[in-house]
Amino acid sequence: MIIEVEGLWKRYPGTWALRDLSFTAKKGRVLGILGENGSGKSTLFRILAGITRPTRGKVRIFGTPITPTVKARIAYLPEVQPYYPWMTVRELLEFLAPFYPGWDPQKALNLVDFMQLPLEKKVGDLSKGQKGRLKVVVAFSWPSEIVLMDEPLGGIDPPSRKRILGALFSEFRYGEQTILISTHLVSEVEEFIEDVIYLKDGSIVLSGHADQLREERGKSLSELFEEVAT
Amino acid sequence: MKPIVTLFKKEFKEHRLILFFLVVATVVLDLYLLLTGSSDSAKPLWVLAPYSGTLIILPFLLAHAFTSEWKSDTAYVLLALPIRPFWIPVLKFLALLCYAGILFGISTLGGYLVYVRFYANHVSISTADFWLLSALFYFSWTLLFFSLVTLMEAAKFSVHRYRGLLGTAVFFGTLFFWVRLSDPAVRWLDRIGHYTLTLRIEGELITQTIRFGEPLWIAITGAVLLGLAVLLFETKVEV
Repeated sequence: MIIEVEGLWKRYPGTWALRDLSFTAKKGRVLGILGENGSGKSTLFRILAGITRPTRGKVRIFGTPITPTVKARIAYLPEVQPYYPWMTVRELLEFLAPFYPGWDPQKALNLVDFMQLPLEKKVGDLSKGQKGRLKVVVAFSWPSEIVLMDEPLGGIDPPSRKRILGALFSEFRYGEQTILISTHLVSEVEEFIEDVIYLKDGSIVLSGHADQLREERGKSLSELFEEVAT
Repeated sequence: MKPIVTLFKKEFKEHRLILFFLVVATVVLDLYLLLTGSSDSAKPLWVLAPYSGTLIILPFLLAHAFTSEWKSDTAYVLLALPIRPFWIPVLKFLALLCYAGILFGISTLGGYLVYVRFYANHVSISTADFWLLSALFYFSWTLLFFSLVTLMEAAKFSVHRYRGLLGTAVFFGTLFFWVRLSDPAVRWLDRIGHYTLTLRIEGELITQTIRFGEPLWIAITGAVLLGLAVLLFETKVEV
């Protein structure tokens, strides 16, 4: 197992964001983490990225707790726009390159080109769609082993969504890379999801292999998403 | 080591416009005083303004460097970088310390030129003593202010509620203990050594003893506060 989560709890003032979460993720699979706003998806992603600390419980990635060595093998695309607005796209890529082993500057430039991003424009001046595409460029410019994508399509216009999904799944190294993706737009990524976890109020309410769940329940993942949410 | 250098460069570049403005303002003020001052007036003493100015402005700039990371969500990318978290406060601290070094160099040069032009006939101090005393005063207080700000920011981002209140509590708590412990600590540290300075004021030779206790006490407090901030970044700070 590439990711092991055991009895994970996270408390914020006045609320528990995660309650006793336990699951594992296998290498080379696409795991969908689905749930409504406030279900704990982003908190879970932040803990897996090592930027939020669990209140209780264990998280092991590649068999160890999250250390800088582990972080160097994880590409994390948060829900928010996390890049320095005063940097140009080129400066941002040059800034991030030394941190991630195997960063390929040529691949980064090719992805920038494919995503139709202006290299010399400041990140703060990019549109929301362009910022979303930039996150994908950053995630796939180096051979990460785990990609954590928290709402990569949130608030992005349909043409940009199409371009992001196209890049995501053409760059994804099947069998080698593990993707954890959370999204509201389940129907747009349904065909790619292999395993799924449904979260509600910080707890897992349903999980399993996507095909098996579809077969057992006779419903698509997006229909199950609505069923779980209500 | 390359990632650490890269992050340091980013910290240094982030506020370079403010540094540029402070450098220009200091140079303009020094030139104005050199050109328009006279030895009969206190006007040239305004040369001290950039000293005290940067001692106040730079800690605020350091606080802003932390706060802006959380406000603009760039803390997500910063904390996700594959480096030990303690590098984050240490590199911000060092980048601003470099700013302080640059501004100290320019301010002290301005101060020295003003002294040579207007006051050297009345008061005589060696160039080495002038720079040494200025550096001792400036950097001991800079270290203390920077460390206090770093600890306040680390404390703020270790919690999700009442951040401002906690930052204020850390400020006043530190001040309380610092003042209470100052007297015995400085007295004890004074034993370590002193520096003898010879001044000539209106032709009369005066010997001054500068004890190391106070600057050492300030520097030690700064190191302890920075250590606590680093510890918080390693164990508590999160998005």
